[in-house]
This record gives sequence, structure tokens and C-alpha cells, in this order.
Amino acid sequence: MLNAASFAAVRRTVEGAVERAALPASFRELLRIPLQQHGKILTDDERPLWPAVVLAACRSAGGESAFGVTVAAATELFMTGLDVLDEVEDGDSSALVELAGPAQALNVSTALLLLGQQILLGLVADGLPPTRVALLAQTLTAAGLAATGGQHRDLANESDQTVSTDEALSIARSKAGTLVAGACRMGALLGTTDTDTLALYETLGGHHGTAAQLANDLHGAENTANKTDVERQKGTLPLLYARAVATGEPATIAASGALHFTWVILEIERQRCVQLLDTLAARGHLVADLRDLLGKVG
Amino acid sequence: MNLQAIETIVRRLFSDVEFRASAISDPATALAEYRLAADEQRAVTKLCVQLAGGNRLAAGEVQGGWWWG
Repeated sequence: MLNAASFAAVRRTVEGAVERAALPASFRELLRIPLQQHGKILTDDERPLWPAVVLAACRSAGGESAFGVTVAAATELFMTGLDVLDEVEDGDSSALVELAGPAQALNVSTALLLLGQQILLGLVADGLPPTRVALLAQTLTAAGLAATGGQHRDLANESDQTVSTDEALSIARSKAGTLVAGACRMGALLGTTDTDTLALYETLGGHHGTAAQLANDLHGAENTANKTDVERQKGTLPLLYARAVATGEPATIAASGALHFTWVILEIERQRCVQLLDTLAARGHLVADLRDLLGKVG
Repeated sequence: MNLQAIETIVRRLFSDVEFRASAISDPATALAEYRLAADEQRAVTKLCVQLAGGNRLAAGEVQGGWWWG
């Protein structure tokens, strides 16, 4: 099972990478800020999510845990870099931007993306075959690139009141779905290079990421006290559904069936994950940790 | 995924009292005309079961930390 020791090892790897980066101390302090946010590795969170996905997939596919720790750390750094970019692009509230401004935040995200890649490439010196390292780097890069395409669509649709629920779901798949697919594939690559098996892990990650995004959007539509999705009329699935029949007020969002509609789609994505987990289990993969992660979603 | 069919069904569940009652009592018959895929049928049926107990959704924990849109 994933345990505190695994995450502590990932934390040490991330901290070590930041320290050894030969960057100004003041810059290293800024790098730590996004890594200290909720759900990230330098907090007290029991299971930071990106490392959890990578470690669970690595264990499931029979990969070596030491390599899993390094890949988890690389993925966490890379995804945190993307998070910072997303905050700047969306104008979301950001501890880093508030402290240091958008220019510094963009520079931090660049460093985090590159640090992630640097750790990954360092696996050659640790004994992982270079071809495997190349596959890992390729997977991470491809996932990030695909997600920028999804982000482009999301940003382009921002002021468009006619966006369909189909488009909203497609964007969720191309952002969160693609990134979790990449993380899952990376973990699995430490245990196998079988094309069919890797495709199963990637598809599983895609459905899991999409389900998690839908759960977050459901939460954003339902809990207006702490979220700004409704205020900002974000193009999430529940809010697009509700816009067609309601004024956008919280009470009418619920009454329109928007939350229930989103829940159905989330449930379909979750069921698809379960089917894929069952297929992997039937092939002897140790999917318990992946099932546990899925159980936390929606 | 047939998103349009699912959207249509949910809108009916929230606007058509008779349809809602029949979907809750016999989801298979009520949903037959929509020709849903197996996983869609299961999910919508699960919704109908939940609606039988009131409008509250049974939702799991939502975690932050992903690259949310």
C-alpha cells in the first residue's frame, strides 16, 4: 500500500532537487511556495495526488519503488509548474502571484517544468535504461503539450455563452484527463513496456482525471461560499447545463438538475475506471492502490 | 458518450413529474426510448434510485490539487 514513507521519500527528492538547482536562494524560496499549497508534496497532506497516481501505477505494474519515487517527484514538479501557469492564465487566486507578481510566477513555473524534466533524465545515472527514460520524458512532455491544447480551448471559450456541454466535457478530458493519463502511464512504464498494457493504464488515467475534474466542477457549482466558478460564470459542465434553464443563482442551479447531470457523467467515467481496473487485476496487476484513489473521487 | 440523450433525460426528470415518477418506479422501461449504452444506462438508473430517496446526491470526497480548469 502507499504509505507515509513513500511520500516522505518523494518529498526528500523534491526538496533535494530544489536545493541542488544552483538557483538564487530567494528564487528557491519562490519555487517552494506552489509546492506548499493544498494537495502538494511540501504540505502535511497525507497523499499528494500526482505522486499518489504515479506510485500506485508503478506498484500496480510491478515497477521498482525507488524509481517510482523519482518519477513521482518529477511529475509533481512538472504538474505544479502547469498549475502555476493555469493560475496566471485564468486569473485565479494564487499565493505565489500575490506575493511575487505574475512575472515571477511565470519564471517559477518555467523552473518547475524544467526541474521535473531534469530529475527524470537523471534516472539514466541511477541505472534505468536510457530507452525507458526517453519513454518517460516523452510521456510527460506529450501529456503537458496535449493539456495546453485543452487549455487553449478553455481560454478561447471563456466569454462564449454558447459553449455546449459536449465541448465542456471534451475540454475536461483534454486537460485533467490527459494529465492523469500521462502520470498513470509513467508509473506503469516502470513495470512494463507492453503497448497494450500501457494503453490500459493511460486510458484508466484519462477516465480518472476526467472524473476528478467533474467532481471538482460539481463542488464548484454546489458550494458557492468558497468557490468562484458561479461568480465567474466558468464554462464547467454543471454551469453550462444550468445556464440553459436558470439564472445562474445557486438555488436554481441545483433545481435545474445541473448537479445531477454532472454526477451521471462522473459516474460513467468512474464505472469505466472500474472496468479497466478489473481488466488489469485479471492480468495480475496489483490495482488496490489505484482502486483506493478512485474511491476518493465523486 | 451520448451526452445529449443524458442531458435530455435529466432535464425531463427535473421538469416532467410523470416521467420522473415512472423513471423512479421502472427505470428500464422509462429509459428504453433513449437507447443508452450499458454504462450510461447503469449511471442514469443509479440516479433514479437516488432520486427515489430525495434529491440529495451521494457524492464522495472531492480532492483538490489537480490541474483544475
